Amino acid sequence: MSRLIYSHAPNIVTRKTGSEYVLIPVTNNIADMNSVYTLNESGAFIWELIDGKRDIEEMIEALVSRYDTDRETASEDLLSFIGKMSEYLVIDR
Amino acid sequence: MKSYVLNIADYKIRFENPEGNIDLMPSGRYSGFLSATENHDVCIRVFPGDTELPAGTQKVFSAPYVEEINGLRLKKKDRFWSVHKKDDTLYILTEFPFSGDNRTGLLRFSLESRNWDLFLNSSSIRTGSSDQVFGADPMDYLPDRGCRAEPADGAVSPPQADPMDYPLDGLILYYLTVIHGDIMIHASGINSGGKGFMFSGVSGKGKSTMAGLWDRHGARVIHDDRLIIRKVRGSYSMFNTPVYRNDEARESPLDAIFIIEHGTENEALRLHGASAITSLLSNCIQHNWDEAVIRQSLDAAIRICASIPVFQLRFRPDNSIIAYLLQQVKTNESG
Repeated sequence: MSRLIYSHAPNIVTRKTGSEYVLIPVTNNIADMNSVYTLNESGAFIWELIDGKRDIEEMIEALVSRYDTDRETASEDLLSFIGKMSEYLVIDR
Repeated sequence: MKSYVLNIADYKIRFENPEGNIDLMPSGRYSGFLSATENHDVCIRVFPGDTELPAGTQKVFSAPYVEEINGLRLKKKDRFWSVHKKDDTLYILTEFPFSGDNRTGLLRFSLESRNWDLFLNSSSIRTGSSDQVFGADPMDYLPDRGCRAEPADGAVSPPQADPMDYPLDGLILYYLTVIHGDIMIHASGINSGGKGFMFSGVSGKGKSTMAGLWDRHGARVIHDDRLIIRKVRGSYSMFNTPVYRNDEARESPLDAIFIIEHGTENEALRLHGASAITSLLSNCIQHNWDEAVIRQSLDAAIRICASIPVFQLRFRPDNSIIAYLLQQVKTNESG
């Protein structure tokens, strides 16, 4: 797997509350104004791993270590998360 | 009137025409909100004039004109109102679709200043009859009702304008909530036996149905569609905003928030943490074009959820929901 490094996009406001996150995208149209997202504890853990420094491999390692899971499951979960959140992430190549 | 103050949701909004060349004529729905106070939270100076945006402004947010018919949202036209920015100065450019064609207004304001300027084009200034106290409501301009603000019996009086014509009313109130760290939300609110319940959801989720059920139960309805939530005198209250003719200012303490949807059974689930905050915010009126504005709304929702219990509620649209909710709140208080 190539060395992919993700960062949070600049167009999103985040706030941690307890072990979860609330995410609100910046938008320029009223049609999108009620897009507000919650990240649960595991989503919040992945969100914090996305720091513009770690690559995908390092993030999988962190997930395996944190959740005592196998690499395949961790990889699937991570790529699924990135797929869902891709609008709010940027890739640093 | 050359000036007046409206007290809406405990915001004192002063309108004045410094040049003395038009009468400011609030529509009838504001009659119960006029205030004799000398103080104000914001002063809006109203001028007849050009509503062109200054050069160099950047459009940051826009809304099409959408009409909702039986739950269906139909876009009537792309251009309705928009927010523009130049340095720290904001501009809202709007049409007044309920009042007539070619009527436009330009509000110049900032989140730091308490002195705002409103420019109304010549089509928005009308000749009025001299014996009126209040101007026409937007609904009065519908074709089958005619326009009440035509001159009566040849009376001559200064030109008139309503500086809070739709949609400026909601826009001005929204930015006041941003400045003060409050929220404006799609919700109905009632007070029963001193307890204030808010029922929030987008169109079709049952806000008006719920308000009607409580109304027939003898509760006081604060509003059936839109509320402002503010912390006043140390605790959270919900306030109505003028929407309908003969509205009067109403306020109630807020004791529980319900995010509602229709169901086959009555079922309330307490929400906590980010779920409660997100559920509340999803129903708030938000112009999320600026990080600072978003943070204001987000922080307001976090503070409210820290003080007021939030429930997801599926409900049967009959009287059974009233006994169910009263029992739920009782259980929540004792637990």
